[in-house]
Amino acid sequence: MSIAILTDVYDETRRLAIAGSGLSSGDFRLNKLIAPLKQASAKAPIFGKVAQAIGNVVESDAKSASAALLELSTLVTAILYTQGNTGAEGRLEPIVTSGFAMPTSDSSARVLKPLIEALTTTGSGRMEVIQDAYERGAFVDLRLVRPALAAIDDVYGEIGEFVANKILPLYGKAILPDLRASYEAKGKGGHVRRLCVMHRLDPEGTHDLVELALESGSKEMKVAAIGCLKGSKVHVPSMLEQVRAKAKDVRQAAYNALARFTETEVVDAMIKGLSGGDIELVAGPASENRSPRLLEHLLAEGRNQLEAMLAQKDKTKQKTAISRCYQLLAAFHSRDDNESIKFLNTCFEQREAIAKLKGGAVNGESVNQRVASLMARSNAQPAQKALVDAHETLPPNSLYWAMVAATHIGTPKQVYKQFIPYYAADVSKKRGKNPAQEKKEIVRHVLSQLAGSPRHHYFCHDDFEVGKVLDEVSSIAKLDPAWLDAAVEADDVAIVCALAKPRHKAANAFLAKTMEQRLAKSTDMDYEYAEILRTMIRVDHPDTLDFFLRSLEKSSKTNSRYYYAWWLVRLIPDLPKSAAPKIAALLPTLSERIVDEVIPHLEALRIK
Amino acid sequence: MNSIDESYVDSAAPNAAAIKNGRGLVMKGKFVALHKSADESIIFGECKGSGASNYRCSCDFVRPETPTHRCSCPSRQFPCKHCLGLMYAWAQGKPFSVAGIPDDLAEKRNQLTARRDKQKENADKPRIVNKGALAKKIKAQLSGLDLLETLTHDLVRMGMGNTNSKTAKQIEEQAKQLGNAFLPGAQSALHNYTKLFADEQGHVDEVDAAQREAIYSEALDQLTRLHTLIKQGRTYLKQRLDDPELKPDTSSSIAAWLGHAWQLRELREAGMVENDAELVQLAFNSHDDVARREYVDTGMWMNLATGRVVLTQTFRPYKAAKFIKSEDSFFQVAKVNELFVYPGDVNPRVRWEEMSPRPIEKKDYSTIRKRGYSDFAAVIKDVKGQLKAPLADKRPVYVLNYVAMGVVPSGELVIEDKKGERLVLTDSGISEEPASCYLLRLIPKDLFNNHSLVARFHHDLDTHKLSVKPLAIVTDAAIVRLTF
Repeated sequence: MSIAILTDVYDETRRLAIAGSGLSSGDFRLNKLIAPLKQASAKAPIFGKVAQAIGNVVESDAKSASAALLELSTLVTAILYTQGNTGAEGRLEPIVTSGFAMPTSDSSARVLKPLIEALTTTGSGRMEVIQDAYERGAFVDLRLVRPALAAIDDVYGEIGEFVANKILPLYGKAILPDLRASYEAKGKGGHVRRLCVMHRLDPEGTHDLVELALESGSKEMKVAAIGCLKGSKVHVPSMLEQVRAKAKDVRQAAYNALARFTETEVVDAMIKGLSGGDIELVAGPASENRSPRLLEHLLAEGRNQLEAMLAQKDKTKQKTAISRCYQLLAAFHSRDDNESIKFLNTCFEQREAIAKLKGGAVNGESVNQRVASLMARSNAQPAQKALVDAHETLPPNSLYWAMVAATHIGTPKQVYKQFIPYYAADVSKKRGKNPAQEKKEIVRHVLSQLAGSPRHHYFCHDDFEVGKVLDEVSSIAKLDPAWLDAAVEADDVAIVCALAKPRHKAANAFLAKTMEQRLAKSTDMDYEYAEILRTMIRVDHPDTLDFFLRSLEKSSKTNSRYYYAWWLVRLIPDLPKSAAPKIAALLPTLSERIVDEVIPHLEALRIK
Repeated sequence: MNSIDESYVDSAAPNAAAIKNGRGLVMKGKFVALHKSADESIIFGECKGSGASNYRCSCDFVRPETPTHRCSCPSRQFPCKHCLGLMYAWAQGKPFSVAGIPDDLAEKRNQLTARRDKQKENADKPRIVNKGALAKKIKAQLSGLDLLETLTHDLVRMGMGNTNSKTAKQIEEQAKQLGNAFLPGAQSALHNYTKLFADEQGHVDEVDAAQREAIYSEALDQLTRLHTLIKQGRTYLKQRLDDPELKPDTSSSIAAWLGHAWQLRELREAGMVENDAELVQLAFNSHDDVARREYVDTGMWMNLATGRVVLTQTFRPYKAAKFIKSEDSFFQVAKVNELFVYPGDVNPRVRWEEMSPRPIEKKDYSTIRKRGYSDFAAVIKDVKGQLKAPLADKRPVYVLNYVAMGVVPSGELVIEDKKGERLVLTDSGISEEPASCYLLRLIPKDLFNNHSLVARFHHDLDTHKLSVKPLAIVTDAAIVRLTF
């Protein structure tokens, strides 16, 4: 059967159906197909029928044309349906697959649909659905790959980040072709995430994209590309080019990427940056660089700035000198060599003169605080000792670092002895600015941090990833048990909660007494309720469940604010499993609002 | 009754929210009374609600395949959250005290039994056809077909290229008259035509020229289908008008196209019933049919005894979606005493009133694979034979046993049978189900040889290619679903 001619007939029919059957009467192109069709009908009579149908169309008038055209269309379409091509020529090669043996998921449509909706639509409440599904392992299903890929561009950036960092890596290299196909070097948001995911999954195979992004990508893309190339020696020249970029973010990323290279060109670039306006961008990365020449420059520049800062009479110039000195000090972070420590000691010795310097956002006190933090974090014991020995003379914000240093070099008992006076000081009667009160708060803050309770404190605004520092310290530091006794004696609920240990009689009695007092009050619950209960759970307090149930009751009765109940119910999964029936038994007596909050967490406890 | 577990109650719920609410009632301790009959055939209780009096709910399992749920609450969801809660309480082992069946329930039970008996009795009685009413209906349908013919011809006369939002709106308006003329099938076909020209939001004028070019072939096919429907429908209706005793046609789907809602009794009378059937769901999808303004849940099942792939379809109009139970994927074997098969093509629609599940076993997978087609040439011939009928289902589903799945130099994914016959795999032209071809580049390698593919055929009128969309892969130990 000659398919070509039938295809022609179909195309002409389609053309007329698009243009309107009014034009079909006497249509030349259709008419000229009649003859070959008639010829072909000798072998296959069906062609004759088609020719006849065409004849009806071309001879039709305005009234009958549409019916004739539909007749022809019906006939030719029916024939073409029987002539569909099926095969595909050529050698059959195996499908290139990731070989990623993802288990078959039996997730039902009812589970998958809302998840897909959360990944592919907009609106609130989606993040929770996605996070929940991730935690339940629901994403281990091939059918979710494409929706997850689409969600990398989600308008809500947090979803895009979550998908890029947590979900897409689950699928491995298999998703690289899709990521690559939809990637644009000049894009932002989702495209930047794509580059990062691709590089994470296949650093070697993504080099071309990273280089292209560096060369012609958007600002965000360049920053991401530089992040991908961090530590690559081959790309040092490209990084050096980016140090001259117009965008500050790009320069910052380039300095970060070059941080550890000691090649002449890199050191030159850093020195240039330190001497110019990029000092705040270079100082951090420069602290990681171990080039002797750079160190030499830092020391010389440091001394100069210190001298200029103290000697300068012009207020504006002095302000600039203070700021530059403060920024330059960041380059001495984690430098333990003798010369650097000697320089820090020099600064520390002049702390009284420096403290008097007034600047803008950064003043002499800021410089002193930074010096103290550098000494505390150095591994140089003499510097740390000098800081600890001077604790009585230090202002509150430097005292913080002195106590941190003390935990490094002293025994728990020594630390207790040195710093308990600040904690035990009577600070209640004074009004106005009260350094003793501030110092007590500092000690409380360090104690809670050392106990692993991550609470932000306004004294800790200083640089160098304070949280990280304290994490390091808390992992090695041991606190003297006497701190807990002191906290109990001082009725300090927050510190008792931070330091409480299992089977500590005094602390247990204190916690029980505090809870009783608070439950007896007719006022609303306060923020410490949940903290006390959390502590009771942690130390396995014998009355935990009783207090917890009473708190729930109170929360239900007093029409307490939503967020107190929010915190309370989130403690349920941490309770022992045996608590579930007792909580369930209490539910009928609680308000609908609280019950709705409790139920999901009670479920979590049941399946614990 | 003892076999009720939480997953059973989950599956009985109309939607996910009802599950949550039903469970919540038990957890919140809202049930103030939980009772069971001495023979445990019925559970009943009282549940606290927002009003002064409690809701009285019951679940009657005297016929375990078709339990009866009753509740005094005003909810139109069925079963309501109170009945679901009652069943969850039972499944969770809450204490139910033995109590006598309340009088009102006993009476309702008796009434139901009487109603059932009457239904059975009526089912055996010969049906009296109201010839006058039937003739009136057929005449209305014939008038409707005349209107449809006018509309179709107007569309062709005007030309598909001139379809715009104004004409689309006019067609939609006139299509409503087809509904009044007892022609809902024709009405949907007309909707299907206009929806081709609309974007996802239903805007006709915002579809650009390139997109339009891609839809003309499909649109012409729809017009052809309408033309055939008019012709065949007219002949069929005239026959019925001439002979009122003539039963609805079961040899083709024309009756359904003309809006005949098949009753189970009619199917039973027409012998369209299979007894003791066992079905395994091969694939499932739930899609939003914007043109018809309803959700459609479609299950694709294999009848293990015959190897025929059949469909279950639940239509949930937007307005009533909350009150109609949404279907879900099913991972067990459905044991059906009486399987009603609708007249149709390769994949007829089926229904059942009672079903009991049993766990799927290895031998069931083997049966599916044995029932699959190993000779692609024969299947292709069969499919082409089906497709040439204008009113046929243009996207039939088959189970194909392939020897190899791979890629050819043009980049197309194909499956190959033992004779080397190939079928190209595609996602194009099928919007109801999510794309699945890309998943074949992610699946484990061992799925590429000697398994069965549940595939939906699709003939592309522009490229004249007959290809298949992969829906699932059946191995000897599992069904790997590629869509949902």
